Formats: sequence, structure tokens, C-alpha cells
Amino acid sequence: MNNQNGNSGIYYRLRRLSLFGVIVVGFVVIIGSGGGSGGGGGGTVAGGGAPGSGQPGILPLYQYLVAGVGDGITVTVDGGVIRINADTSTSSGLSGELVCNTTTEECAPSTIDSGSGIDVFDVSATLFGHFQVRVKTQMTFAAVDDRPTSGSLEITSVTQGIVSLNMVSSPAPGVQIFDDSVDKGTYTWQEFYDLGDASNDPALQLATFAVDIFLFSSGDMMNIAASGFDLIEEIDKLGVNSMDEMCPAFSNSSFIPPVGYVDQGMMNFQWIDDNPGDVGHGDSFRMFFTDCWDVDDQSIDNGGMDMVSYTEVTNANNIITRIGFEGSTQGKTGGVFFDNFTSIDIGVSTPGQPLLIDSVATLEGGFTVVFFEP
Amino acid sequence: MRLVFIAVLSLVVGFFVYATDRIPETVYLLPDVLSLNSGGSLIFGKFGANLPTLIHVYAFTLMSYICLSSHRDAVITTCSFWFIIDSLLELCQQEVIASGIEAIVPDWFDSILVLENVAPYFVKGTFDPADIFSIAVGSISAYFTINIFKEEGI
Repeated sequence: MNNQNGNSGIYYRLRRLSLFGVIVVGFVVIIGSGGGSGGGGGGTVAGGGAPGSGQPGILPLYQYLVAGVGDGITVTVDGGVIRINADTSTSSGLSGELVCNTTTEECAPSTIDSGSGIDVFDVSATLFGHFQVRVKTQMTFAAVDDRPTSGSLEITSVTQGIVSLNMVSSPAPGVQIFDDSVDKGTYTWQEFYDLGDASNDPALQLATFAVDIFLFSSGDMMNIAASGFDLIEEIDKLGVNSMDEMCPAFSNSSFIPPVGYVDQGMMNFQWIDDNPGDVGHGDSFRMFFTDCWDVDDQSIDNGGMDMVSYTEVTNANNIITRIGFEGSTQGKTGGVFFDNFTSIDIGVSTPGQPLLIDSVATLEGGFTVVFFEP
Repeated sequence: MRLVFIAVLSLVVGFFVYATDRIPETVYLLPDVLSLNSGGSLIFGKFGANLPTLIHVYAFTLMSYICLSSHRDAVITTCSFWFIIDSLLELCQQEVIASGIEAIVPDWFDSILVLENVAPYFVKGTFDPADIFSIAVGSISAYFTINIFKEEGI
């Protein structure tokens, strides 16, 4: 009798355990059969619409192209004025591959193609004169780092001749520098950037300056466009023409804002319906920053950014195959354009004291950015 | 045993809907190597959009019933349970609810298999009333399937 009861108890527990297992598997199948990059409209076992509905998904790999519009971007910093252009008539612009996590939709550049480059014009004639930066061998990036780990580029300057840089990954990630074929040493990235202030060698100073601008031109331009994509999705979901977002407050980082700046600024995002209908392809947008604290860059943004002629092309599976700001719409040239945009860099902070401004950069001009299926 | 076979067979059909009519990037648990999607026409046509929903509630109701069959109210309990769960998950794909869920999903989910897809499941999914209908059809079908086999003494 006892034995029978014992068997019955075990049998009962086994069935309960099995039921628990079935429920867990059921949930895993529901959650796991959707999401992805979303192209199936969350076409999940438990839910989701038809393929092709819902928010479009993304590919795991895109090609990108960043190119200057007109004269490119003019940057004014503390009296010095430079013009940066990724001119596709003199180089292949800035192109390469971007790898994406289709679940989180986070992307990062993995390469910059050889032949890519920028031209930098010393408008104020106070810096290094005119120079070109060209990628000689394809540059590659580690998955989670924004600094290249292999490849080479060449800086051709009217004042310094040719300065070459080889990206190295050992003994530590960094740069090997040659000034007209003379080895100037190998530096870690931190040492390299410090050269700008620490070295009196104009070739080394030019190298840090040029690389800084080059990586800004490739990485930051794409980041700006990508932030626009997120805001477009958000304004579309909200179904409004304009939305305000509060920026991070200085006080949340235990800082006191510089004198004359508010503790918490804001950003306005506006939809310009250049292509009548819903938010989407052919439309334009405007971002306007007011004392907006950028925690990552430790800078304050002010001014406008126009994002003109949004491109979004999806395939039959509702996966984005081309996205960016390019072409033209309503007679306006497509691209991302700075409109009296200022980025205020913060210097060393003293606890309990207002932050001090290190430099103010004003940006004008624009560039096109497009990501497309390889 | 026959109920187990039917449930498994149903899930195999559901898998084929995903393998043939969806591209792998849109299905978290479907690796590229198992995808049979060639980018051409949809093999299951318009039914492929809602068929997996029906199959999920149907198959898991049958399997749950097998585990609970000695229970007096097993049929109605399992049918109701999966109808409610699947319907709730579908309803939570509405934008307003989905964005609320996304906001409360903890960051540590991002580092755990399957859990990392919880927020994308709701945010990228699309609420479709036809899926609620499919869930109801799946539950009712499971109810009749179980009762037919019960009458046959299985």
C-alpha cells in the first residue's frame, strides 16, 4: 500500500514537473519565434501580423557611404576655421561596412574601405594648411571599439609632405607613424591622442589632428544619422508633428552647469511632411538643441540640424535594404545639415563649482549618409 | 500517446511556416541554417501569417492536457490557460502597452538567451485581431480534439 502510494506520488510529481516544462517551453517558443529584427511584424507563434507588417527590421550587414554636400562641413573652433569634405569626386567618400545586431538593432562600423578619404581646408590659415586623408589599405574595427585595429592611411599635407599611419593591434592597439618614410614610433591610442598637446613635432601634431577629424567624419556622421532614424520611428509611433525630449540634467551627474546654461536642456524634433502622407520616405526632419548636455561626449549642444530627404526602402519581407538622408525632395538637396550648430566642450571640472567651457565648435554645412544592402 | 503525436506534428507544421515563409532575421530562435526561405512566394500564403498562432495554442494545450489529464477539469483548464496567455501576449503587442513593457524590462535581460528577446518581441510585434481569432480557433480545436480522444478512452 505504502509502495503504491509512493509510486503514485512520484507519478503525480513527474506529471506536475512535465506540466511546468511544457509551460516553460511554450513561453520560450512564443518569445523566441518573434522579435528578431522584426521584419515579420513580430510574426510570432503567439502573435504578430503577416510578414511585411509592423516595424521594419534590419539586415545584419550594410554598406555605408558618407559624402559631403557642396563644400562639406565648416567647423569654427576658437577662431580657427576648417572645412571638411568627403568629396566623391576626389575620393570614394567615406565608405565601408556596418555590422548590426538584428535583435537590438545596434550597429557599428566594421571597416572603412581603401580609397575613402576626406579633404581638409585650412580656411583661417592658422592650422596645418590644406591636407588630404586617404585610406591606403582597408581599416577594420574591433566589434566594440571605435578605433581601427588594422589598415593604414596616408595624410598628404602641403606643409608636412606625406605622413603615413599603420593601425596596429599588438603589443597594444595603437598607431605606427611614418613622416616621409621616417619611423616616428608606435603609440597606443591614448599616447597618440596626447601627442597633439605633448609633442612639438608638427608631423605628429598633424597626425593626431587629421585622425581625429577623419574618425569624427566617419563615425559621428553615421551616429547623427542613426539618432535621426530612432527619432523618426518615435515621432511616427506618437503620431505627432513635433516632439520635445528633455536632455540629461547636469545635476544628475553631480555637476553644476557652466554659468549661463540651464541645468536641464531640451531637444525638439520636428517632422516636415515633404512627401505627403505618413512619416517616411521622402520626408524631412529638424532637430533643435537648447543647452542639451551630452553625457558621453561631455559637451553641450545648441542649434539646429536639418535631416532632409529621408530614404527608407524595404524588401518584401519588410527588412530595410536602404536607409539614410540622400537624393532630394521638394527641390531640397538630401542630407544632414548643421544650422548654426554649436558643440561646447567642457574642460576640467572642480567639485562644487560650475563646469568650465574648454572650447566652442560651430558647425555649418552638410553631408549625405546612406546605408544599403551589400 | 496519439495526442502527443498530434501535438508534435502540429509544431512541426508550425516550424515549417517559419522556415519557409519568414526570413531568419525576423525570428529570434530560427538560425540561418534552418531557414528554407528563398525570398520567393509564400508557401503557406496568407494563412502563414496566423497559422503559427493557432498551432501554438493548439499544440501546447494538448501537451498540457496530457500532463494534467487525471485532473477533473483538465480540459477546460488547459484550453482556458493557453487561450488567456496567448491572447494577453498578443494584446501586449499594441504600441502603447509594448512601449511600457520595453521601459520596464531590466537591462540584465539583454545578456540572457531568450530573455534578451522579450522587449523586441513586444515592440516589434504587431497586434493583429486575426491572431486573437486564430487563438480562439486553436483553443476550440484543442478542446474538441481532447474530447474526441477522451470518448475513445485514450
